[in-house]
Amino acid sequence: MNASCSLLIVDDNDSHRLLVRHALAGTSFTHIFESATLAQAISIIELNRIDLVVLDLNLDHESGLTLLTWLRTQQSLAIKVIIISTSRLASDLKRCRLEGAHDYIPKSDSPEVFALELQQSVAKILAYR
Amino acid sequence: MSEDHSPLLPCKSSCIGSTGAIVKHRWNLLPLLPLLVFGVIAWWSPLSAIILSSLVYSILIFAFIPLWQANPCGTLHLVKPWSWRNIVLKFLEENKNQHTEIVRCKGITDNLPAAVLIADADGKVLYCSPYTEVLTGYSIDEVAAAGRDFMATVMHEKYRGTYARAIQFFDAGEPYQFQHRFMHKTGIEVWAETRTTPLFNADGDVSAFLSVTLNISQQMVYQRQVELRTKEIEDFTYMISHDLKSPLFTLRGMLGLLEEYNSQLPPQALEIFSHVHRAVQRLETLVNSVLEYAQISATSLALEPVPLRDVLTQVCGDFATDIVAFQVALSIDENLPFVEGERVRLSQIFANLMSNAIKYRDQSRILTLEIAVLPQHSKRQITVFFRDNGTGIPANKVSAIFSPFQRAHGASIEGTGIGLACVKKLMEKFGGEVEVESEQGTGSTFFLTFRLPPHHHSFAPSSSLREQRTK
Repeated sequence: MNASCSLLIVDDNDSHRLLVRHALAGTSFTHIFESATLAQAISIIELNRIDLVVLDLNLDHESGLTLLTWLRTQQSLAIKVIIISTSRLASDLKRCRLEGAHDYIPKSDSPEVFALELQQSVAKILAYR
Repeated sequence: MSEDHSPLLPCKSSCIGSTGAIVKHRWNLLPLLPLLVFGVIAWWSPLSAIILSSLVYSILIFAFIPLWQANPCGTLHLVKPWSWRNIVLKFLEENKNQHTEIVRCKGITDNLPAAVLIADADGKVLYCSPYTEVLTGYSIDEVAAAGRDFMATVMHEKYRGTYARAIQFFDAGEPYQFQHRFMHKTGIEVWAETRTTPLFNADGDVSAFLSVTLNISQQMVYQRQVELRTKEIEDFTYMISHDLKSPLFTLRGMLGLLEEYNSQLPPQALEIFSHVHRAVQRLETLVNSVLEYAQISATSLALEPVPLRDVLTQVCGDFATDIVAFQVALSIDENLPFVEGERVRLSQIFANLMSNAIKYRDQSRILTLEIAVLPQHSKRQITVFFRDNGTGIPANKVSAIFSPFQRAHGASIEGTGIGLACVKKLMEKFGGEVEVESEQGTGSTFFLTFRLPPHHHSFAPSSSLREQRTK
C-alpha cells in the first residue's frame, strides 16, 4: 500500500460529508478533501493526486454521473469512484456501473450499515492498489 | 332463466325491421302445397285412390309439424289425432298471449337508452334496439348484416380478446360483463359497458345470445379525474416520504456520532438522548411504512398465475421461529388454488396477516390459524379465508381497519397501522378485495377474494396447468 493516499468526498450535504469522513476515519487516507459542487471537485482533482472519490449521485442541481463520465475521459487519472445515494432504484445502480463506478452504496439503510459498507468497499479498493 | 328469453325469441318467422324488431306470426301454408300438387295428379292419374290416401297421411304429418315446433317441449304424443282442432285453438291462444308479451317487452327495449341485441344460435340477429343506431351510428340493417358479433367489429382492437372471452363464457352458458372502447361510425371513440348473456329455452339449452351495451363515457371522464387526483396524491406521498429519508439519515448518523461522547455527558443528558433516539427510530419506521404504501401505488404489478400453496409455505418458513416459539397451531388447506397476482406481493399480504395474527394473539390461549378456501360460487373468483383466534378487533374499529394509520389496539402494541392498508391496496391491484369479520375476544377472519387466472377457470383448464397443479 502506498504511503500517501488521498480521498475526495463530493456531496452537497455537509452532514453527509461529515458522516463519510467519520466512517472512513480509521482508514489510511493521508489527505481527505471535501467538495459540495462538481466544479470544485474537478479543480481539486486537477490540483491534487486523488486516489478515491466518494461521490453523491444527486447533488444540488447536478448529477454525480457528470463527474463520473468526465473522470472516464481523463486517461491519465486512475481514480476509483464509490457512488453514494438515497436512491435504491435498480436503473440508477445500473447506469453508475456502466459509467465505471466501482461501487454503489445506498444511503437509505441505517447510517451504521452505510458506514460499514463504505468501510468494506474502501478496504477492498485499497487492498488492490 | 326461462322467463328471460321467452317473449322476444325464437319465433320461426321473426325478422328484423327498420325500427327495432318486428316479430310476425302467420299460418304455415306449406303443408297444404302437397295437397294441391297431389290433387292435380290424382285428377289425371288412375292411381288416384292410392295417392289420395297418401295425401291424407301427408296432411296429418305436415299439419302437426308447426304445432310441435311452436311447443317444442311438446305434449304432442299425448294428444289424440282427432282432437287436432283443439291443438290448433290452443296454439292460436298461446300465440296471442305471446304476441301481447312481445309487444310489451319490445316497448321496453325499444325505449331503453341501451344497445340491445339478440341473436339466435347461428349468430343471426333477431332483434336490435333502435338506440343501437344512436350509440354506434350504424343502422339496424348494418348491425343485422354484421350478425351477432357486431360489437366486436366496431370495438377497439385492444378489447377483442375480452370479447372473445365473453363468447367463451357465453358458450359455457355464463354471462359476462366488461368495459371497452369502440368507434362510433363518425370516428369518435365511445366508452361502453357490455353485458353478454345466454338465453335458454325450456329444455335449458342455450337458444339465443343477448348483449346489452351502455354508454359510460361520462362516467369514465369522472373516473379518470378521480384516478388522476389519486395518482397526484400518491406521487406526492411517495416524493415526500422519499425526501424525508435524507434528513432522517443525517439525524440518525449524527446521533450515532454523538454516542462517542456519551462518557462525557451527565446522566440527564443521556436520558434526553435516549428519548431523541426512540423518536427518530419511530419516525424512521413511519416514513418507511408510508414509503412502502406509496410504492405499491407507484409501481405497476406484473400479474401471473401464482400457486397460493407455495406462497404460504414460504411465509410459514419466514415465520418459523415465531410459529415454534408461540406453538401456533396451523391448518392450511391442501387445495389452495392458483390465483392471479405477483408472488412477492402475495407473500407480503400473507406475511402482514401472519405478523398481525401473532402480534395480536390472545395470551391466554394457543394461537390457532386456519387458512382455507371458501366454497366456490364463481368461476372467475375464489375466496380464501385467514382465521385466527386472537384478541379480535373492536366493533367500532372494524370499518376503518384497512385505512392507513388506523389501528385497533392503540399504542399498547407497536405498529404503524400501514400493514392492513397495504393488504387492501395490493388486493385491489390484483383485481380482488379483502374483507374482515371479527369479534372481540374470539378472533378475526380475513376474506381474500382473488381473481382466478384465465386458464384456471373450472370449465377451461388447460392440460399443462392441470399437470402443474397435480405436481
